[in-house]
Amino acid sequence: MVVNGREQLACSTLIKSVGTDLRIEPLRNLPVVRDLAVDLKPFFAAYQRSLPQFNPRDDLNADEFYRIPHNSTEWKALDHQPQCIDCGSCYSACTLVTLNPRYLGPMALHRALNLVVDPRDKARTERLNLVAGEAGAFRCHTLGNCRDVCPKGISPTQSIERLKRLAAFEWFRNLFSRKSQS
Amino acid sequence: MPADLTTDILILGTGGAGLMAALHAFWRDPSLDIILVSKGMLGKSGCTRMVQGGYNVVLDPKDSIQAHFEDTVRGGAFLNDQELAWTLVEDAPRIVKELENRIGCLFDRAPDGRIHQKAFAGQTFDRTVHVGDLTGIEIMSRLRDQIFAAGIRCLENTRGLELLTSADGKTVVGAVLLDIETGEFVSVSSKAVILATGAGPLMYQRAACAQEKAMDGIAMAYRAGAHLMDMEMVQFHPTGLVVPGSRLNGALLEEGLRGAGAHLFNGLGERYMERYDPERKERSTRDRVSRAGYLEIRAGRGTQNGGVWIDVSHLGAKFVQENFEGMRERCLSIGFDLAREKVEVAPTAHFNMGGIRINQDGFTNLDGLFAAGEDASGVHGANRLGGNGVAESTVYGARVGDAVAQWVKSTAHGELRGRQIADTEAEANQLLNLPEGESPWALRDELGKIMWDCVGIARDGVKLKQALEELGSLSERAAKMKASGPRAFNLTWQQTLDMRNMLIASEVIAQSALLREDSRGAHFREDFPDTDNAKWLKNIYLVRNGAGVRTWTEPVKLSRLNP
Repeated sequence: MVVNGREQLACSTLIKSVGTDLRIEPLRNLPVVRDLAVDLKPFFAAYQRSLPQFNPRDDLNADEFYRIPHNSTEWKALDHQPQCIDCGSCYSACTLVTLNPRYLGPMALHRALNLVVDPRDKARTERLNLVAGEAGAFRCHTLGNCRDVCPKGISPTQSIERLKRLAAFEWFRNLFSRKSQS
Repeated sequence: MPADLTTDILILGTGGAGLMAALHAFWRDPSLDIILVSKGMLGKSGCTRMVQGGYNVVLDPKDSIQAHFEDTVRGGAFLNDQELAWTLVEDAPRIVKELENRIGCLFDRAPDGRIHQKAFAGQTFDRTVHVGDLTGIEIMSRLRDQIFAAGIRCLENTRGLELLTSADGKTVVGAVLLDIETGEFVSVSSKAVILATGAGPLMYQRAACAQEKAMDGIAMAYRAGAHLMDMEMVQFHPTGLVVPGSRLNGALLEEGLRGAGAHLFNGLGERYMERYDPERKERSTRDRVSRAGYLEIRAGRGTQNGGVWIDVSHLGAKFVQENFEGMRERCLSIGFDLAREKVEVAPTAHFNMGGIRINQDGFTNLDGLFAAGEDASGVHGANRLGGNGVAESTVYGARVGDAVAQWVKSTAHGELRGRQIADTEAEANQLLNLPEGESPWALRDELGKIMWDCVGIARDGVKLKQALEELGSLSERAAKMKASGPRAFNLTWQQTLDMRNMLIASEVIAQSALLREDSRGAHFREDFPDTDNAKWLKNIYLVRNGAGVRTWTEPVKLSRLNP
C-alpha cells in the first residue's frame, strides 16, 4: 500500500516507523478492485511480456547441477541482490510506468537481468532484444523510485543499468559481426 | 446440467504440488484442458512460497536412498506408508534436478561450484538443498514462470467451495468454485479434480501458515466421502516467533538454525533439551523439541510472554548474517538481532501429516478425485522431517500430474447434479447478510483457544472429550455466523466459509486423537505417554457417515523397515 505517500508493505511496517498521522492508499499504477485492494494482473502481465521463464541450454546436462565456482566469471556475473518477492511496490512507485503503461517496469526488467546472466539459460539474445525494445530498459530514466521503495533492498535501477549496457554491447557486437561478414 | 466451465483436469491449489501437477500434465499432453484455481494470486499464495530451509534429497554418493528413507520413517515413528515414503526419497533426486535444469531454480552452490547441501535436524546426512534461507520463493517463482509460459489457465482469488459428486457418491465429477473478487459462483465439470490446497492447521491459536489456508481441501474431501488418515498428527514447529499483537507472531525461525547448532534456553537460562534428548539435544526432531518447549512453558519455566529462547549468537555474527539473512531481517523488524542475541520463540502449529488417503500416484478412494502435498497423508507418518515437505509437494505433484494426464484419456465427463450445485450455493449464501449472528473472527479466536488447550501438543482423554463437546456447540453457533457487506471481495464472508472447513477438520482431528491411545511422533497423550508398537502400529481412518463419522484402523504395512 501507499502509506503517507510512500510504498510500504503494510503487513510488516511498524507504526512507529511511519508515525500515527496516517494516510493509507492503494498501490499506484494498478486498477483498484475495492477499497485498498488492487488488481495485480497488469503487473504480472507486464512481467509475462518479458520472456520470464527459464529456457535451458540444449547442452545442459539434466542429470547434474551446472557447476558455478564462486571465483568464476559466471558466478560474479550473477545478480547477487536479495530475492524479489513480487510485491509490486516498484511498479507502483515508477513514474515511467505511470507515463507509459506498456513499459515493462522495474520488476520485469530486474528479473530479466537475472535470466540474461544465468549461464544455464539459452534465450539471452532473444531476451536482450526484448528488453532493448520499445517497452524495455531504455524507457528507464534512472529516477530510482523503485530502489527507494523496494522492501527487500533491491535496486532494479542497478539491474536495468546492467541490461542497458548488455543490450548496447550486444548491438555493437552484431553490428561488427555483420560488417566483418560483408 | 450445463456447467459454467468444462475442463479435463481441475487443480485446486497452486503451491508446489498444484503447479507441478499442472506442468507435468501439460508436458505429458499439451492438448489437455487444465484449470488451476488459486485462493490468492498465482505464485504469491500458499506455504510452498514460505519455505525457508530447503529440500531434502540424496545427491552425494556417500549418502543413500536407504538412509533418507530410514530417516523419514524413523522420524515418522513408523506410522508412514513405507511405499509412499520410499517413493518420496527415490523420486526426489530426479525432481530436484528437474527443478534446477528444466524449471530454472538456481540452488545455492558451495564455493567449489557444486550444489550445496546443508545440515537439517533429524537426518543422518547433510542433504538439504536450498537457496539461502528463502528456498520457497525461488521454487514458486520459477514454477509460476513456467505456468505463464505454458499458458495454463489460472483462476485467481478463487476458492474451491465444494466437490461435486455422482448420484451414487462414488465419483467426483467437478466442483463449485467461489470467485472471491466478484462473489460469484462458478460450476466446473471436470474429468479429474486434484486437491492440492495445502490443508493448513490454522485453527490453532498459534499457527504459522499462509493466512488463506483453512483446511479447505480436507474439508471438501471429507464432505464428498473421501477417506482421511492420521488426522491426529498435527506438527508443531518448535520455533515460531513470540511477538504478541503482531502479524509476525508465529512466523517461523527455520530448522536450519537448529541444524547449524542453535541452543534453546528456558526462562531460567537452562539448556533444557539436555533433559529431553540428551544425545541430539536441539538437533532432535520437531515433535520432541516442540513438546520440550511446551512442557517447559507449561511448568512455569518459560519466558514472561510464554516462550523460550533460541540463541545462535555463539556461531558468530558474520556466519548468521550470511546464512540466515532473511530470518535476521525479520527479527530485526521486531527489535531483535539474531546474529548477536537470543530471540523469543514458542511452539507453533505448522503442518498436517494427516489428510486424504492416497496411493503412490495420488488416487483416492473416490473415482476422479486425486490429492497431493499437505492435503494428502501417509508420506510422513507421525512426524515430518524439515525439508521433506517441499520435497513431498513437488514429487507427488509431479506424479499426480503424470498419472492423471494418462488417466483422463479413458474417462468421460460425469453429469453434474443441479440440486447439489444449488444446495452448495444456498449454504454459502446463507452465511452472507444474516440479520444477526456472531462474528466469524471472534469464533475463530475461540476455536484457536479450544484447539491449543485441548487438542494441542500435550493431550489427554478428558480434554479431548471436552474439546469435542465445545467444538459441537461452536459448530451450532457457527451455523449463524454474520458477515455483512457486498458479495465482492468480502473477507468476512470468506472467513465464515473458512470457519466451516476448520471446524470440520478440528472435529476429525479431536476424534482421531481421542482414539489413538498411545504417544507417537507429534501426537502425545499424557494419559498414554508410551509408544505402543504392540497395539498401536496402526493408522486411524475416518470417513463421513451421514451426519456422523465412521472410524477404523488398519495395521501399518512394514514393507521395508521394522522398528
